[in-house]
Amino acid sequence: MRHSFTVRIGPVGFRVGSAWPQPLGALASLYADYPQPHDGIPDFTVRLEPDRPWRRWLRPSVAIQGDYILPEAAPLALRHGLLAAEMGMNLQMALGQRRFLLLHAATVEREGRALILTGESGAGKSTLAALLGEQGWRLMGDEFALLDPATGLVHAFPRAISLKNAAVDLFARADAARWGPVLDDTPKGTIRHLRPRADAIARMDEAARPALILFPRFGFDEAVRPIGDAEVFVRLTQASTNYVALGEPGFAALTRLITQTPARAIDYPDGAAGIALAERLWEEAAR
Amino acid sequence: MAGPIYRAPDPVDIAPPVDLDGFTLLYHRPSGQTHMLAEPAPEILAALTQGDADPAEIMLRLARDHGLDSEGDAGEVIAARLVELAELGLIRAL
Repeated sequence: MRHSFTVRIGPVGFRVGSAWPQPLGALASLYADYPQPHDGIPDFTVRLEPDRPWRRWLRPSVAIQGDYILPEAAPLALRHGLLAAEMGMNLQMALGQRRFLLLHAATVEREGRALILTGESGAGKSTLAALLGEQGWRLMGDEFALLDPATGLVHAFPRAISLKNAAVDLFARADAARWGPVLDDTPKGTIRHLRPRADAIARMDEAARPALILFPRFGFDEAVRPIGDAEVFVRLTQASTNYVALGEPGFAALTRLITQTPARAIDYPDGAAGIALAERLWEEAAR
Repeated sequence: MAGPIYRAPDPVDIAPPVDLDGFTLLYHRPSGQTHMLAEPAPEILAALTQGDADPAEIMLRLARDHGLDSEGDAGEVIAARLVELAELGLIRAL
């Protein structure tokens, strides 16, 4: 690899190697204030390589390689190299993480307690968590919640927030220095990354006790539904990329989370309503 | 009612079960599989912990311990659940 970049996000260190300097320049700017891997040793390596040798120069095309790969993953254009790096880091976590039970969920924290938002892709959990992270909450992560089987605590993984299409406009007041480049015409539409607020980065090593689980759905009339523990269990095993790999510690961690943490399914029509609903349910859960 | 003799799982093969609103979650250590059991499967497993038994004996234990009514198709239901539990590897047909 001609170029490389290292970073630590929460407890996980990454090395990203690249055949081109551009994706790493974008990463370095987006992750400017992040620490280095513990003892200088990354947990995972991502490599951005031409999918054919001549593709380094001719219509450059980025294949995502690394410790763990998806053979069928399509290469991306070089102008989407930042997205390739982000996808590569996600992939290493999804396929290789064994220390934590990984839940596909966004998490925010207040007073040492965590609000976990989970659900299907496109349900708005990541946008809602990011909005909460701009106003009074610490964003712990918009993609993965890391549940420690030994303690039951959630660890932060505050990657750059991946905002898609109209969601970008909801963060218009964010400081210009926090934004990554606009990535048009990606397979998921227009994507722009936003660095979390400074407190999310400075406090990334502070874990939190889970206090409320929400299953949000964006774009529906406001509603709150109770959700049974058994259904929560099934949905969280589906939301976990490594439940089976973790074996019995994963079973113990997940059942402990569910029996000790209240859960609700919520529908909300827009960001403001989602924030208000999350705040109300949080207050009720704290009583 | 005749039928195979069934044996309960070895206690060390099952992690402490967890009850979640009407379901019993069992983690089976040898297979690494999580099973989500609904009534009467957890009751059948409990009845078998009293010793190896054929379906008729299991029916008697369920009637005694859980007030199961042995009239109607209860015998067929229990026999079917026993076959399923054995296929899952949670109990053994001897």
